[in-house]
Amino acid sequence: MSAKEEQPGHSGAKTEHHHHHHGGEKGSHEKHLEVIVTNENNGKTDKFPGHPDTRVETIIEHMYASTKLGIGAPSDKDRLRCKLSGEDVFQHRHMHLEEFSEKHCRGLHWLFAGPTGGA
Amino acid sequence: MLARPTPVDGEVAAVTFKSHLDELWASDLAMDNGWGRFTLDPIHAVITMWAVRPDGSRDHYFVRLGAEYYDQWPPTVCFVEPQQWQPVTNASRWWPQIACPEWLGLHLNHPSISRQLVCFSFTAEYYMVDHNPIEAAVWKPGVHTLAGTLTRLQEALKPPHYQKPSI
Repeated sequence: MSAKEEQPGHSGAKTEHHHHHHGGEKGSHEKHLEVIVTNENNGKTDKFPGHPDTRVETIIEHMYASTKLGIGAPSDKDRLRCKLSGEDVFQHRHMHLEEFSEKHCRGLHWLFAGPTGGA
Repeated sequence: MLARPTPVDGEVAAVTFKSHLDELWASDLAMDNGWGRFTLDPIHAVITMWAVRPDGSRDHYFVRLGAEYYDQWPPTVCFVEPQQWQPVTNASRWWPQIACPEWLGLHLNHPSISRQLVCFSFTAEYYMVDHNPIEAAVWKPGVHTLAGTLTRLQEALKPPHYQKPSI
């Protein structure tokens, strides 16, 4: 039986950007954050821009609305966790992104998984 | 009662199967999990997966995916031995010992289908046996792909679920 091995690709992504506006007041500084969400149900990834004071729940709303991610209808059995720490994102929905990033989820890359039945 | 899987057009299945595997391999998930991929024929592939014991040491396994019903139903899934890529039929090095979470069952030879059953709602074999999952857990073409099958199986191959090879 013939067999061919294929290696996985890699797509790194920056998760935080600092935009300096050189034409404005000296030292003015606007910080932009980016949340990456990977839907483990289909392998799709989407990126969501935000600011330090954007609430986690705002990104969650955008995540469910994303046609690229294709999550479908929300379920109370859905799981959303931080890729690096494994921290549950839903339970921190009222936090601001910057605080959530500093305390619970460096990198702001989240993994979504819908419910699975079994046994 | 959930409908039983019925075979789909082989050529369409092969295209969809390859497309979804290629998409998955272009994402970070395959690299992050250290998966390898061997194509056996247009509708079968073997995925090499790493399992992590409670002490952090690792064992590799071979999981064969099939597109006989894909993607109207999930891929067929079985643990295989590395000589002929045939399903494991006895407790062996190639059959994992897992403290199964509530969403997973592992059967070397399930009496209802007379074959191995990796039992969760993202495998075709799950639908060959009577089950009553919640609606949100039922496989939906276009919403779920084989990526979901592999990521969920990978979860079972990590702590706190995975223990060691059966022998």
